[in-house]
Parts: sequence; C-alpha cells; structure tokens
Amino acid sequence: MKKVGVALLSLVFLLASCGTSAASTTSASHTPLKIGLLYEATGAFSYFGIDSLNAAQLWVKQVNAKGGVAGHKVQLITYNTATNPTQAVEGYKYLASQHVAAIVGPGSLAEFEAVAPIATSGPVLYTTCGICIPKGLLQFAGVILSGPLEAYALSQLHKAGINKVAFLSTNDATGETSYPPFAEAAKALGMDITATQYFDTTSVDVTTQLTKIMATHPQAIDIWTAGEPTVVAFQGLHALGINVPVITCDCNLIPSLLGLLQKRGILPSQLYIPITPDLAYNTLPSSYPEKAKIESFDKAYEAQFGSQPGLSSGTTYDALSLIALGVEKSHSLNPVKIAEAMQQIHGYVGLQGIYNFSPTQHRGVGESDAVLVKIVNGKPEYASL
Amino acid sequence: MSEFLQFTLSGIISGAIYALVGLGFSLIYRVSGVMNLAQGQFYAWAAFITYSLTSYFHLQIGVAVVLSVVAVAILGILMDRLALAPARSADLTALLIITLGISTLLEGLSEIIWGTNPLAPPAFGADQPFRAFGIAILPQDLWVIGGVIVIVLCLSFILTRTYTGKALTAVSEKREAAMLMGIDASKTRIIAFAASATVGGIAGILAGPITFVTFESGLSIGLKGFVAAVLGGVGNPFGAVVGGLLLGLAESYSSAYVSSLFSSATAFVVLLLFLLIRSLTDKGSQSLGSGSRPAFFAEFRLPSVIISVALAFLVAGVAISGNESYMSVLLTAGIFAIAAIGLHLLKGITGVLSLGQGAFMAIGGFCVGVLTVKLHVDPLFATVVAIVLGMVTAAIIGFITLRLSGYILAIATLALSIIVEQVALGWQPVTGGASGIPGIPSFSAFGFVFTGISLYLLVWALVVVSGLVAYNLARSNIGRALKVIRQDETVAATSGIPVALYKVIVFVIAGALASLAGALYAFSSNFIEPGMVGSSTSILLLVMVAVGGETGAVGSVVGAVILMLLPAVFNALSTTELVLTGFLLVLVMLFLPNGIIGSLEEVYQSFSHRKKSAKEKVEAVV
Repeated sequence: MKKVGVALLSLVFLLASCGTSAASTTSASHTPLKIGLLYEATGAFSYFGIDSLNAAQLWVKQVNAKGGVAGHKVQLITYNTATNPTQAVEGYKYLASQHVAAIVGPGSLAEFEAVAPIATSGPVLYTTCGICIPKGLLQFAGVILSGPLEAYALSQLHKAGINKVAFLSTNDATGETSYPPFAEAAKALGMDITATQYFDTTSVDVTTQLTKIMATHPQAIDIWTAGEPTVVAFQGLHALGINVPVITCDCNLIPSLLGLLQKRGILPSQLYIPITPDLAYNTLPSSYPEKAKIESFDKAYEAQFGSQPGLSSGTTYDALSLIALGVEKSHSLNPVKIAEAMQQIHGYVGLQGIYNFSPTQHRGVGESDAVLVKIVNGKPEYASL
Repeated sequence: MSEFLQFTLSGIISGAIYALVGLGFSLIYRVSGVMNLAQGQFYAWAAFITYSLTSYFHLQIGVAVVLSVVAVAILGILMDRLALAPARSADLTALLIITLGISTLLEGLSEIIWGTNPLAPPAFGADQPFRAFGIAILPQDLWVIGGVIVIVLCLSFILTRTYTGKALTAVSEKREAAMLMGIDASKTRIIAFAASATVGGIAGILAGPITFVTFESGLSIGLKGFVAAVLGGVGNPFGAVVGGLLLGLAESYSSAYVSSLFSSATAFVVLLLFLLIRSLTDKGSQSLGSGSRPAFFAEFRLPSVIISVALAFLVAGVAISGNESYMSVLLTAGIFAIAAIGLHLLKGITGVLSLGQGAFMAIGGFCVGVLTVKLHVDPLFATVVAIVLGMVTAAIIGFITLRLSGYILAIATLALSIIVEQVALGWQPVTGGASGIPGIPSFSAFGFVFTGISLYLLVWALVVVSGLVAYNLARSNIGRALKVIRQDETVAATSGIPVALYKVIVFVIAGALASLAGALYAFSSNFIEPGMVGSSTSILLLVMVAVGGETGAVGSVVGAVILMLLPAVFNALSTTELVLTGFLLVLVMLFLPNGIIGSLEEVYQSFSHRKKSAKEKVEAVV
C-alpha cells in the first residue's frame, strides 16, 4: 500500500515537474518572429541533431543581438523528435499550435514523409534532410540532395580514370534512396556497376558482403551509409585489406569520428566525401565566395560551443538565414508570404553554397555547389581529382 | 572455397559476439528466471569505460580492462539489488519491462556521458590483418573467438568443479532444496549477476574494437544475444554459444547465398523454424518463463470506472478545446490502445506472451497503403481486407505456435515482427521499402471523409467498442475458459477446454484489432513505413499493457495514453528524456507490478476487505 502510494506520488511529481516541451531561448518583443526547430536529440540521427540545435541557438543569439529580423525579436521553440516519425508529427503539430512562422527540420526521410502530408498549410517547413523532396509552396529543403552529391563524386572518380564501381549500403532509407541516383549517375558516365550489396544496420560484420563485392574486381566502392554501419563497413575493408578508393556519405564527415578511425588504423587510405562547402572547413580555396562566411561562422561556433560545427550546423544556420530573408522581403510573418518571398531568392551566398530558389525549385543548392574532400590523417582536405 | 571460408569466418565472428552476450543472458536466467534485456548494456558500457580509461586517463589496456570489468560487475549487482531482486516474485512480463527500463535508462546515461558518435576501446596488440587458408583474419577476431573458448572452459570448470558453480546449478534447478542444504540463494544470485555482467563486459571489450559502440548499441546487440540464448536453450550457457554461432552463420550465409537485403529476415526465419521444430520434439522447452502472474480482479470495479470516466473527460475535453497538438497525441494513443486491447486479451486473459502485435499492425497499415494508393481501392473496403488478412495471418501464426509459451513464444513472435519489418523494408516495389508508402488518403466511409475531429472521435469510438468486446469476451464462458488456460494449460485441457482452438481464436481477435489499429495509423498519418510498425512497436505495446495493467482492457488504454504522453511531457528534457523514461518504467513495474489499474484495484480490494472484516467484527461483538 505504502509502496503503491510512493510510486503514484513519484509518478505525479515527475510528470508535473517536467512541464511542457517548449524551450524558449529569447524573450519576445512586441510581435516576436517565432521559429520552430524539429531536431533529433535522441535516436538514430541524434549524431547531428545537437549540431542543428547549437547552430540555431547561435543564429538566434547573433540575430537578436543585431535587433532581430525586420524589427522582430526571434523566439526559438524546439522539439526533440527522437528520430521518430510519430513524434515528428506530434512536434510539428505542437509547434504549429505555438503559431510559429516557420519550422526548421526534421532531418530524416521517415520523419519528413510523416510530416509532409500535414505541412501543406500552417508554418513554412524547411527540412534539413538530404534525401527528402519538398512538396508544395510551404516546403523547402537545405543541403545538397544525396543523389547529386553521389553523382558529383562519381564524376570526379571517372575523371581519374575509374570505370568499375561497386555499391554497398544499409537496407534502410539511406540505401534505398541512394542506389537509384548512384546507378543513374554511373550509367550516365558509362561506368560499370560490378556489385550491389546491402547489410542490416545492426550487423557487426560485413566481410561477407565485401568479399562478394571484391570478387567482381571494382576499382572503387561507394559505401553510402550513415553512422555506426559506416564504421562496421570500414572495419570490413580493413580486415580484408581492401585498398581501393572509397566514397562515402557526407553524413560521415564527423571530425572526431574520423580522427578515432585514423588513430585505430581502419580509415580507408583513399577516402573521399562529396560535401557542401562549409564542411571543407578552412581547406576550401579562396575562390569560393562562401569562404569568408564559413570562416566567420566556424569562429563564432567554436567560441560558443568549443568544437567545430557539425553536419547539420550549416544547413540549420542557412535555413534560418533564408527564412529571415523571406520575412524581410515579404515584410510579413505570414507563412505563405514568407514562402512566396523565399521562392524569389537568387544568388544568396550561404554556408552551403549559392542558393537559387524558384516556384518549382525549393531546394536552393545542387550539384554545382558540391565539393570533394579527401580524408587525410583523419581530417578533410579539399580535393580535386 | 576461400570465399566460403571467408563467409564462414564472418558468421563465426558475429556468432561469437552474439554468443558472449547470450551466455550472460543464460547465466542470469539460470539463477533468477529473469531474461535481462539490459544485458547488451554491459557490452556497451564496458567498451565505453575502457575507451575512456585508455583515451582520457591514459591507463594501460590491461588495467583499463580490469577496471571496466569490475565496473560492469558492480553495475550488474546494483541492477539486481535495486530493481530486480525486489521484484523477484513478479510476473515475467513485469521483469522483462523492468530490464527494458534499465536498458533505456543506461542508454540515456551513456548518451549523456559519451555522446552520439561511435567509439571503441583499443584493439589488443597488433591490428593489421593477416592471411591464412586463403582468408583474411584480424588479430582481434582471434581474441573474440579465443574469448568465447576461454569463457566457456572457465564456466564449465566453475559450474562443475567449484562449490560456487554447483551452488549456482543447485539454485537454478531447485531453489528451495538448495536453500535447505544451506546454500545462500541471495548470494548465489549476486554472483550470477556479477558473472553475467562480467561476461557481457568482456564481450564489449573484445568485440568493441571491431564493431565500435554507440549509446544505442546495447539494446540491438542485447536482442541478438537474447535470440542466441533462446535458440540454444535458455538457461543453458553452452547452448547460448551454439545459438549465437547458428545465428551468426545464418546471417552470413543468407547474405552470401540468398540476398543481402533479407539477411536478417532469413536468419529469423531459420530461428522461427528451429523453435517450431524443437517445440514438436522437446516438450520441456515450451513453457520457459511462465512464473507468477498478476492476480485477476473482478472486472470493472470502482477504480476502473473512475479511470474510464476520467479518460472520457480527457478525450472529450481535448476534443472540445480543439488543441491540435493534444488531439494528435491522443489520436495516436487511441490507435495504439486498440492494438493494446488485443494484446490484453492475449497476455492478460489467456497468458500468451506475444511480441508480434507490431507485425499485425504492419500488415494492416501496409495492406491499406497498397490497396488505396496503388490499386485505388475504397478506404473502407481496404480496411475490411486488412482486418481479414490480419485475422488469417493470426490464425496461421496462432496455429503454428500452439506448442510454444513463455519466453520461447515471446522470441518466436518477436522473430515474426522482425521478419515482417524486414520484408516491408526489402519488398520495395510493393511496400515502398524504407521510404514507405506516402499519399495514403484519409479514412472515408459512405462518402464521409474522417479527418481532424471526426477521425479523433471515430478512433476513440472504436477504442470503446474494442474495450467492450474484450470486456464481454472476458466475462463469457470462453473468457472463463481462457483464464483457466492462463493459469494452467494442462488443467484446462483436462477440464475439457479446447485449449488449442481457444488460443487460436484469441490470436485471431488480437490480430484483427492490431490490423485495424495499423490501418487507422496509416490513414491518420497518410503514410506508412516499416519503422512505424516494426518490432519496437511490438515491445511498446507490451509495455503499454503491462504499465496500464494487463488483466483489464481499461489498463491497456491507460498504458497507451501514458506511453504516448511521455515523449511529449519529457520533450523539453532533450537527452535526459531516455533516462527519465527508463527510470519511470522501472519505478512503475517495481512498485506497481500489476500495472496502474491492477494496483488501484488491489488497493481498492484491500480497502474493501478491511471494511468488510471490520464490519464483521462489529457484528460479532454486537
């Protein structure tokens, strides 16, 4: 009886003490510009969710320090989706009920596909997902689509005389969405696909798949995986002594992880990653118009968080800047007017490239903005094959 | 030939890792009867601690290994003393959920401490691969295989030649008799948890340099270990080794010779077949983990009525407020409540521990997705087809798993969930693969489209109907027979109850409800993808039923509402959300082992009894 009472009281206390899920980072002025952030603090994509949150907090701090956006102080309201489509929908509805003008995120395909059908009215939705296709007036996407990134990497390999490539990925959304553009790009370049293999995200060994791949004698392998499965694949390459050029997903450009893999000796010696310019960090040539902005952002980010910006930091920062530009151009906090103004943005120099939107093109950056880095001593270095 | 050897080595390495985790499962189960879903956390935590000690404190690898193993052994003892030992008499579902809560808590803590990137302890010695017999071998692979051999030999020696080992065996076989012979069962249990954590920790330290670990690794590697332990015969540590190797080899060979897209599915099909075949030949294996069960209470007494009225007010209040955010949470809760009511019939009334309800939700969701989007079938008709398909599949599954129960049935139905999830992922032309099926229309019937408030009310009306069906079934003759089956199948059979038929009937009803829930989930989201209705959904449904209280339909609804509200309530806590969710799960199952409704009923019953006996005393005095 006593135990039951204690447990019920604890339950009530815990539920009551946790409050609601809004995390306001600024005090609102007369009419604040409310922006929502759907980010992944937990779950499979949490390795870049925190980057997104950090970048958003930095952007809000910088913008409010300069007086806000078109006279409106910015109020950021965040929601952790836990990389879960159902929670992403709950989060979208929660943020919409807070009357935000725009929402940045979510970052995964499943989350976006779950949110997209209800995001046809209400706030502007600017996804940070690299494999999602925005639909309708209110939806936008940042970061270069993974297809054009793969195509760019393949074109670079082709230039270097490579004509036979193999594909290895996970049997999830990453593998499924990355194979068709890979096959299309290879075909367009006249390259042979020698083998296509998949593995489960919970696999602890993929030497079977790599053995089958190497039996077809590829000159390079596209390992388009994200996070822990990439490490398992690299370990397989190391175990089998495979030393062909490897291209991998931009989502693996995590400096601390690459440094650890280098230290443990399992980083492929010829590892190339097609990325957005911000992730080439200070190795980006001065000829890139984004360079100055990237340096300034990196400096501010490191000063505030004590680490380099991560994967979706640049995407989130650009997304917020573009939404702010939409507000300034439209002189309105109305999502439809903001979206219409954003469609007119041309030649905006962001961290991830030069943005060009139109009524039919809601992803502002593409293959022409991609750069290739080679991982040398665990660090990305701008490369041109 | 060398290719075949390489595939075999790959299978042996994976299998050895699963075996080490499975060994830990078996050691704990042997003495405590607990299937510890947090077993994989010992693997991850030992790897993380070794990483930290070598990278930040620059300790020698040998010292770091010893300290890490001691740390996880202490963790294992704490896990038992603080959470599992106090609940030793609880139902096996409650024990499973306590361990799941501990796993979630430890997962959350490791995310806070070590972040989200993969990390690894250093390899032992040389790290360059070498070739032998035409195949490439990593030195660390040999450490893993050697680790399994050494641990098996040590365990074999300890279990058969030492007093402690004999005490472990004695307690596992006849606890009371062992205690009468002077064996301290409590101390033995502590040793078993420490040993199990040690084995799990050694697995993480040996395999971590190969696999790396993230905060999420514990649960996934733990589930593989769970499968290995069941495959090899739960409670038999050496069987777990065989089970692990079989699982690893099945995965590798299916990747090599069947399809790399379906490797996990193939491995789980093998597991399912193996369990079914073994159930036909090994009578003893079918009833592992029956344990004690939550008590029944007279249906729908005052606490259930009060909670039902409160729920009705909550649902109506949110509808009247028009708050889309709360409505969305409660809409999803209502959908899950329908599937949970089905599981209440299976687990709470009949005693069938199924982890396959997510599979039927997947069947319902994907069926309406394919029919409405690809074949443009009317949503109402598509829903009817989905329910019928769910019922037929449930009848088949119910029939072929008739001889299984307890943990064996749990793992068989979990395998079914994983197979359905993997097929949904791999069968891209039909299911859309991992991208799922977008553009599913809203539910409509007779020209009326259900969206927003109308869909919300429809779902909750269906919750009420499902609850009434379950309530009436539980009170009928069949329901009484099902409760006898729950308590003892042999007694039921000798009493003339057609056990097989009734169990299949309950499977079919539960399958129908889960398929309906899956269909509604797809219609309400206008989208369905494998992750929404995968194996984790099956586990979530079991947690809902246990937290709410398994012996009444109201409990399932309460569980669904609480579990759906938790993420929203804890959302602002970001990374600490996992820690609190895990802590709360442990707390609820520890102090309310009959679930929230069951415990309230218990309090009410105890209060009524006291009142009654006081009245009787007064009458006697008068």
